[in-house]
Amino acid sequence: MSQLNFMDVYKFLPKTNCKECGLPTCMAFALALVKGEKHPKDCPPLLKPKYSQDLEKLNDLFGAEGEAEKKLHIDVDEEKCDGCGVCVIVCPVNARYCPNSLSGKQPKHPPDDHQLFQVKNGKSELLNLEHCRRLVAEGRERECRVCEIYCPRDAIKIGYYTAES
Amino acid sequence: MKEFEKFVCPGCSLYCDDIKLIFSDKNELLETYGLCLKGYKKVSELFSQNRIKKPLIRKNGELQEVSYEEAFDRVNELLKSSKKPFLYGFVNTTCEAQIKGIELARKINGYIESNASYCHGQTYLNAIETGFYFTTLTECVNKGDTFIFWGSNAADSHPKFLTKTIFSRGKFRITGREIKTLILVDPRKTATYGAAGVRDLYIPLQPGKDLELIRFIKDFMNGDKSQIPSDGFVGIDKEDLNRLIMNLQDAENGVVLFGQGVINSDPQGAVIRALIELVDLVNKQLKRGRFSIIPMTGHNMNGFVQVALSLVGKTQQIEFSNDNLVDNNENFVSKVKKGDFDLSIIVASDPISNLPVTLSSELSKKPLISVDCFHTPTTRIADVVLPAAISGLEAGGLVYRMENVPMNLQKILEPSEKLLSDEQILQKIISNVEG
Amino acid sequence: MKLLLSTIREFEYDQKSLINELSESELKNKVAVCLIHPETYNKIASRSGVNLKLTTNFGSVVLRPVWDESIPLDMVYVNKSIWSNQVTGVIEGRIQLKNIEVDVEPSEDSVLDISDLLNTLKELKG
Repeated sequence: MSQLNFMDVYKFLPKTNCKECGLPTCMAFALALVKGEKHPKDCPPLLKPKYSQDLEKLNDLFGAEGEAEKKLHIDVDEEKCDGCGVCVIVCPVNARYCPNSLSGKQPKHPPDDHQLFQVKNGKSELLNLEHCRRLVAEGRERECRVCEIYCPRDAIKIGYYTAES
Repeated sequence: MKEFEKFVCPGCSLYCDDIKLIFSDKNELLETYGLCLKGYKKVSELFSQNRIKKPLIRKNGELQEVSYEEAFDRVNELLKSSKKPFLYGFVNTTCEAQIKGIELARKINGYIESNASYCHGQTYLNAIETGFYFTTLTECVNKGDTFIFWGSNAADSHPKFLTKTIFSRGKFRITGREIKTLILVDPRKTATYGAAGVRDLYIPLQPGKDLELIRFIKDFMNGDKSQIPSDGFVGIDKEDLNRLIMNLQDAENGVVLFGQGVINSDPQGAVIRALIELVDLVNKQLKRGRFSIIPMTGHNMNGFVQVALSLVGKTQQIEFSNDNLVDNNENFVSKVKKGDFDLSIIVASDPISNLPVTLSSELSKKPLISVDCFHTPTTRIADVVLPAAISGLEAGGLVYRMENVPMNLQKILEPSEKLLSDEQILQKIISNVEG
Repeated sequence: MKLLLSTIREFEYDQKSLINELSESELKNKVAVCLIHPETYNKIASRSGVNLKLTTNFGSVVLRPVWDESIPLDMVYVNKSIWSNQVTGVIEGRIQLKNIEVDVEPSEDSVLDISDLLNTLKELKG
């Protein structure tokens, strides 16, 4: 349910009262949109080219349906990374599963199934993203960004991207 | 496949020992785990095109490949006609080679100097008079809570130093980064401050103002200044000064790390002395805990200091005549600038690149023997080049870490082309001189 | 323009490790650099991509400038290399590598090759 006034929504509709959406008037459709009972794509005339700008505005307000799910990405910029291993030591998941990292040493190889970062051939490499706190933990622990904050070269970026981008 | 666990990396004076290397049966480097980029490049040097594969002698103005035997004969000829040989370098090599270097200097009435003399050699010279506060990396990991980087860019010189000390969760510092404070004192916010968070502090020190700042802090802690001036001091805010002094007074276990920023801008050694005295004063005033000092050295600089102190009792300006130590007041800079030598033997160093042109031009005017693994500007102008095996990869030996803990470099591969190690080369030269 | 010069050693431009990876011309491009704040640079040179000539009491050298906003406005930082040591020297028996007074001006000359620098030494060798 959005906080919009249905008059703000009505101005983008065709205002023909054609009833193709199953409701008697465009005013009724605007009310239904605001209540969350209908979606812009339920109005067939809106899909015509002459209403494309209005449809775009309505999609901005209500979200295009069928949007691809955004996934967590943690990218290590290979050009900036100098293999210092801060990400390996500071990651709370590594601290739990790789006892060597507590004293600042590199974890043993082959890596544990839960190990998140590993320094290979002079560069940091991400492993096992599915065990990252941002996906697995509850509450405030989910906001974990320590690898991004503490990388001395600013080489790590946490982002949410769709599959296409 | 050959796997090497707990390999000791010879990349910098941190000598990390938590490295795993995997080589193929044909000695190709497959994978490394734990090496920072600096260490990885060092290990990859095994396969560099820039390696010197055979000894070289200058004939008719050009360097030509010869056998080790012919090269050693030429070295012996040059030594026989030399009355004032000058030996230099000895930092990027093992203690065993350093011992041989001093032995060779004694045999040929030479003057031997290491790169340390214009680097942390000054620190140890001062320490003989002021005393020193040692610590170990393990103590930094388990107890360290305040790290002051004074004129040192640890992120570039020793990439894993911050990782090991500030980010680790030691026995008494389980919360790790959250309980440790990083203070950077430098004219510029270097990459070391890239790992900073909210509790850390940056002091924008103006060039040449180190002594004034240290004296101010000492006076304040001695009670001579009742409060910090409201508009700060030497361009530093009152708030930052307050926090710096508070961190010095409240630390449980602090470390002061200093490097080229202090040494190279302080030709007389006054700032180093003042820093050591400040740490001494803080230690006397702290009710519990202590501050210590780690010099950010290069490679095996500490090894040369240890070897020289134990063999001859001095760390620099070591000169022999008739098997005895000569008492001299001249440092190598004046000696080389005057051209007061007739032959130079450079071991594991590149002074033509690293010394000011006024000194490198003097070195290039006289016969020069170079012992090195790679082609450098020094080997290009040398009269004899003796190729060596890489210490830490093709030759083992003892080295001293930056906080003076001894480490063992390993030999993991046979040197290609049957190259000799620095130690073996120097021993051969000594044997030829004796025989 | 009068500034203060300091030599530094950064891993990205380190001659000692790069000499084993790059050819001589690539090495010259990567290592013979000076780090300068963009505002300071714009007061010296009218457009980007111009080399800078640094002159001290000890000598002069032409270097390629690299912009870096962490450099103080009254300083220029030079990467330690065989090029930087053309402008460092000895004062009162001690080597001086930092806080040297330097005069910086734009230059149309290109950076010298290592061979050129060594030939200058060789000429002195006699």
